[in-house]
Amino acid sequence: MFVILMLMLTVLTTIVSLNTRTTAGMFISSWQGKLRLARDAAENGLVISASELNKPSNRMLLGSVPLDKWRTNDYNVYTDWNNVTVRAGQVIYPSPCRFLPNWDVYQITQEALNMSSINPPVRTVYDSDNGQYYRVLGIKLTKADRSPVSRSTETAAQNAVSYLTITVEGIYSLGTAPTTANPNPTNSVHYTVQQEYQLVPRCCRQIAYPVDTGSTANACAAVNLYGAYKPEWIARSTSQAGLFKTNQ
Amino acid sequence: MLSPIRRISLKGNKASRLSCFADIGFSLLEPVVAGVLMAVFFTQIVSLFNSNMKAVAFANQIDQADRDIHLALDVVRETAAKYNWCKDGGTVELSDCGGRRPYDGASFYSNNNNLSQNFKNACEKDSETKAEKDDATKNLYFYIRDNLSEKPAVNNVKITVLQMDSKEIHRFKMKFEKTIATTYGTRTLSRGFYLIPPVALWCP
Repeated sequence: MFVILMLMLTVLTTIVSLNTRTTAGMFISSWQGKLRLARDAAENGLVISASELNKPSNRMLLGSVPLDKWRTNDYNVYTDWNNVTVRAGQVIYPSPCRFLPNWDVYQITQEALNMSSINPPVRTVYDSDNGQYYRVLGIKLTKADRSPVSRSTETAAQNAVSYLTITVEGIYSLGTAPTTANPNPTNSVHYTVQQEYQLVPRCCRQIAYPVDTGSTANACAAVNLYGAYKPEWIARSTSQAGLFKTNQ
Repeated sequence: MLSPIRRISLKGNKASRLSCFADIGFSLLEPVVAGVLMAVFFTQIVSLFNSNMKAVAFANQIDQADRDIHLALDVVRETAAKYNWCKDGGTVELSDCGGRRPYDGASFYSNNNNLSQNFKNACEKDSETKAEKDDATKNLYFYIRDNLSEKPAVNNVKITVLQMDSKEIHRFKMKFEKTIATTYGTRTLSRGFYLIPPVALWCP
């Protein structure tokens, strides 16, 4: 009797340990796959967010409006001989700069304005399909010497390179969809990516960046354009990147 | 179901009782039961091991397909980084950039006046969100379609440009697909990515 019990116990233990080992292996493999999907979502979020700020509609925000004023609905930008209040749907891109006939490509987008908020932050969750989501955790500006640009009073320089840091969180969740109110549903996997871009001024509707050739003049003065021609800022190339992950 | 057996003592003791087990040592039945149990357990182990091995192989195949897709993504990103306008119409070849590489941002387009004006005109053309109609980047689109998609350079990953979802910044919305034969049948792994060729940052 005792021998049989011992035999059964041994066999049972073997089965359980074998099963645990292989299940753990599969779990880890599945986890790595999910983490990769979360990272892809974060990287896609970075591309989308940086390009959102590079759209003609939003190109002038970083150098014309302090970050804290993006969502106050009372900050004016002088353009085309008029003051235009910064808010979604408004157009601050001057008419001599426009190169496409569509009006909508020049309207400031809410997605861009939301990135600047820190008090309280507006971290909208965007669905990129396939169970992948992303949200912008924040942006910040620094000067050429990496000293901070004041969020309430300063903007990016018109005659020198600045740096823009964007932090994006990628989320993978096949079950409950994350929402802005609840971005951490059960079993969701999160991956955060932070990337720094060169923020380079140039005069609107131009292909050259004066700072690339060492110019320290205002971007439009450097190419002898004045009046309604205004500088714009393009988030360009990667100068630093950092990856860190968070798990839920 | 085990049946009790009547045992007769070999020591001459007449006393007998119903029992499934021997008083001393093994009964004839016990090794048989142990053997059957062992056979069942052994079968279970083998089938569990087999099914786990299949599952592990399946997970590895999916993982490999995922890695193939990421390799393809890297190749596409590198190709996009090389794409330049040192030659009219745009090309991924660097030979017309005078030995300079566009990676440093210095030579995404030729400083030849005619070419730079052509580049500007190409950028400003309305592509109507169609990659093949975007004069600034369409040669990159054709290169990806004809020279990379489903080719050994990207481990046969199928690359499709779904659309140019933001024509004003020349942003490609792309789909990467890899179909694999697994122990559980044919599976297709799909991933969506956005790509902005760096040359587009030199467009107005």
